[in-house]
Amino acid sequence: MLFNSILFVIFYLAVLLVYYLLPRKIRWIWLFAASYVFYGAWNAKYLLLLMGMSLVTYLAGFLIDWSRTSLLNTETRKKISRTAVVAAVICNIGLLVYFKYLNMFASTLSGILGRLGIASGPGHFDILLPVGISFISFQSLGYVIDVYRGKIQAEKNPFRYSLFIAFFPQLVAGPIERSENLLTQIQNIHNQKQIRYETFTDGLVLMLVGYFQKVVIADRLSIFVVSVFKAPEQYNSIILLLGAAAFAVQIYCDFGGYSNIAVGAAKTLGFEMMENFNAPYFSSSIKEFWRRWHISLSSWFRDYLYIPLGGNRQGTIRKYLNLMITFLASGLWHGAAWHYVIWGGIHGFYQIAGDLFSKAAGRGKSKTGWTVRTEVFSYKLLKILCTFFLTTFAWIFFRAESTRDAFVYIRHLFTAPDIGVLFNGELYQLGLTVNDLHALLFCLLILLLIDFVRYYKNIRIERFLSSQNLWFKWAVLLTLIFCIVIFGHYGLNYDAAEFIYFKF
Amino acid sequence: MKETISNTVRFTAFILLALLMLAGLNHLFLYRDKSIWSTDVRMKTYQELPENSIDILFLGSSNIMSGINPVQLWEETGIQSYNYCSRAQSFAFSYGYLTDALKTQSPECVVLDAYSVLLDKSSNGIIDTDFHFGINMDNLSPASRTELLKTFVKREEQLLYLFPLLKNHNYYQTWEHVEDETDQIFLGFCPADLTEPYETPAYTDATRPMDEIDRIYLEKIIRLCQEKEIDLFVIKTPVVCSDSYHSVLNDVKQMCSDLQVDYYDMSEDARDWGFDYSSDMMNEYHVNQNGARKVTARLGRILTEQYGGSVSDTRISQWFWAQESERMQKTSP
Repeated sequence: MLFNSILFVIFYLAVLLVYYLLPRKIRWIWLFAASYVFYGAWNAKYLLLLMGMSLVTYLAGFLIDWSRTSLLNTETRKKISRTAVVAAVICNIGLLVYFKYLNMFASTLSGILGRLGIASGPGHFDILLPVGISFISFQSLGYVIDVYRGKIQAEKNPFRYSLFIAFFPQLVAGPIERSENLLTQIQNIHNQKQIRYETFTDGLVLMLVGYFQKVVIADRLSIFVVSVFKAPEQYNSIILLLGAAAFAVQIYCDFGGYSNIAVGAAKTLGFEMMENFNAPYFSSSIKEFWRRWHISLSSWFRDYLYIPLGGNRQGTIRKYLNLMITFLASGLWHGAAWHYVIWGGIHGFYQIAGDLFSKAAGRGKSKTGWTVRTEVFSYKLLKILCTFFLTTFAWIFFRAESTRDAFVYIRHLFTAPDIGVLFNGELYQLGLTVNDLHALLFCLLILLLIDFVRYYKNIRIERFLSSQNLWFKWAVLLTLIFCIVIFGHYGLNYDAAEFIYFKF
Repeated sequence: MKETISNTVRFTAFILLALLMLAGLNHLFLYRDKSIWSTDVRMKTYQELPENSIDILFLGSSNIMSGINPVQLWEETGIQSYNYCSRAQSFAFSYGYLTDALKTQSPECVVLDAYSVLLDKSSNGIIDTDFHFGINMDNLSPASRTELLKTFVKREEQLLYLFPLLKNHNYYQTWEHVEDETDQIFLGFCPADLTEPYETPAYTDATRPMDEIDRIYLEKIIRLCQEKEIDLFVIKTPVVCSDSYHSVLNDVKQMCSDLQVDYYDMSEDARDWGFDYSSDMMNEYHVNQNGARKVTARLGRILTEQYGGSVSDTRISQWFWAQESERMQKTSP
C-alpha cells in the first residue's frame, strides 16, 4: 500500500475516523490492528517475520528487565542481560543478512572464486526482501539496547510493544523511532490529551507537503534521472551534472516527502515523531549535512555504533577509523551492493577530510593572521554550494546500478562541457516536455522557499504557516493542493513510483 | 466551546474553498477535442437536435463516421438521421451511446457498424481510446459511464473516471494552439478527402468467433432495439481487410441471422452500385468523400425501400437538416 495511492488515503481516513470514535483506552488496539493490516497488504507472509522479530526483541527486553529485578547475583544478571542483547542482535542482524545481503556476498564470493579458477556454488538465491526490514531491525535493536542501558523499562505488554515496532506511518521507511519517544507515547495513550486543533492541522499540512515533494517533484524528476543514468555515455557533461543534481533533489523529495507524510499522519493521531530531514541542502559542511539528512538513521548509527566503538574519545586515528566504519556500515545498510558501500565510504572520507582541513585552516590562520569573513552571506553561500556539490558527487554512486556504471558516469562527467545543450532543446528529449520542466521549476521554487524558511527561521513549515495570517496560510495550502492535483505524477498511463527507500 | 466552533468553521470553510477550486479545475480540465474526430461536438450537436426528430440513428466507428453523410441522405431522401459514431467505437460504447440517445430521440431505425467488432478492446486500448482518440466518457450519463467503466477499466483506475480532473489533470500538456476542425463535422459526418487505390477484395466465407464482450454487447443492442420496437440494420461499409478479420465479421453476420436482424455487407455488391476501390477509399478501413457519396446514396435507396423513407411525424424539425445542408454547401469546395 504505497503512501501515494488512493488505497492508502482511504485506509488512513478510515483509521483516523475510527481512532477518534474509540475510547482512549483501546485506541492502541485499533492502531495495532491497522498497522498489521497495513504491513500485511504488502505481503501476508511478511507478517510472520514482523511478529517473529517483535517477539524476539520483546523477550530480550523482558529478560533484561527481569534479570535486573531478580534475586540473582550481579555477575549472573549481567550475563543474562548481555546474552539477551547478543541474541537480539544476532537474530535481527542475522535476518537482515539473510534477506538482504546473502545474494550480495554470494555473488561477490562467486566472482572471486571464479577469477581464481575455483568452482563455486550458486551465486544467487531466490529470496524476497521484506519491505522495511532494515528499519524494523534497527528500531527493534535500538529498543533492546536502550533497555540494556537502562534508558527505558521494558514494555510488559507484547502487543503494545508490537505496535511500537509496527506503527504504520513509520513502519516501512522510518523515521527510526527511539523507544523513549514513541514507545512512551504509546504507553501513555490512555492519558493522551485531546488533540489540539493546531496539532491536527499541522499534521495535515505536513502530509500535504510530503505529497507535494513526492508526487510532484520526486516522481517527475525520476523520469529525467532514469534517462540520464541509463546511458550516461550518450550525454554531455552538463546534462550529466544536471542528472546528478536532479537525483540529489529527487532522493530528498522522495524520502523527505515520505517522512513528512509519516510524521504528519502520526501527528494527526496525536503522536510526535522525530523530524527526519531539516533542510539538508542548506548545510554548509558534510558534518552539518549528516545532522540534517535522515536524522533518525544518522543518530542511530552515532548512538549505537560510533559511540560504542569509542567515538572521538580514543585519539584522532581511532576517531577517523570509527567514522569510516560507521559510514561504511551506513552505506551497506542502504543497499546490498558495493556501490552503496563506496557511497558510505566517500562520506566517511569527506568527514575525515573536512576535519583535517578545518584543523589545517585553523593552523594556517594562526600562522598567517589571514582571516576569512565567515559571517557574510557570500561565504555561507559558497559553503552551501560546495557541500551540495560534494553530496551530489557521492549520490552518483548511490544512484548508479553498479560501481562500474558509477565510474562510467563520472568519467563522462569530467569531459568538455557544452553549454549549448541547455538551449538547443536536448533537455526536452530526456523524458520531460517543456511544460513538465516549467512546472518542475515552479515547484522547485516552492520547495526552495519551504526549505529556506526551515533553515533561516529554524522553524518547521507547518509551524511557520500556523503563525501567519489565515489568508496567507490558505493561499499556500491551496497552491500545494493545486500543484499536487495538476502537476502530480499519477493517473492514467503513469506508474505509481515506489518510494526509493522502500527498497531498504 | 467558542474555540471549537471557530476551529470547526475555519476547517470547514477551507475544505469548501478547496472543493470549489477543484470543481473549477475539473471543469477547466475537461478534455475538449477540437479535431474532426471530436465526440464532444457530436454529443453536443446531438443534444441540440429537436426532440424526437430523427428517423435513423447511425452508430459505430470511424468507418461510418466518414462513410455516411446525413446531410446528403436528407437531401436525397428526406430521411432525418444522425451519425453518432466515433473513432474506435466498439459495440459496448455504441450501446452506451444508444441508451443515452434514446432519452431524447425515438428513431425508427438504428444502423449499426459491424466493423466495431474488429476494434481493440483491451482495457488499455479503451483507456487510450478514451483519452487519445476522442471517445470522451465524461459526457455520458452516469449509468452508461459506470457500466463502461466496470466492463473495461481496471478497478484502481475507475476512480479516476468518477473525478475527471484526476484523469485529465495533465491536459495542460496539450494546451497548445490546436486548429479547430469541428466546423468540418456535419451531423456527425466528417468527409475524408485523401485517396488510396486498392483492388477489389475477395473475402472468405469462413467464420471466426468474435470476442465475448462484443457478443454480449451486440446482443444487448439487439435486445434494446427489440424492446423499444426500433428496427436494427447492421452494415459493413466497404473495407480492405484480411480474411482473418473478415471471418470475424462473418460471425457478426451469423449472429444477426440467428436473431433475425438485417445484415448488409456493402462489399459484396459494391461494384453493382458503382463503388470503386481504386478511387473511393481513403485507406484500408475508410472510404473517402467520393466513396461516402456513393455509400450514402446506396444506403439511402435501401433504407427508403426497406424502412419506408422519412417517417418523421412533423416537418417542423426539417429546419435543422436544412441548416446543416446550407452549411455544408458553403463549406464544401
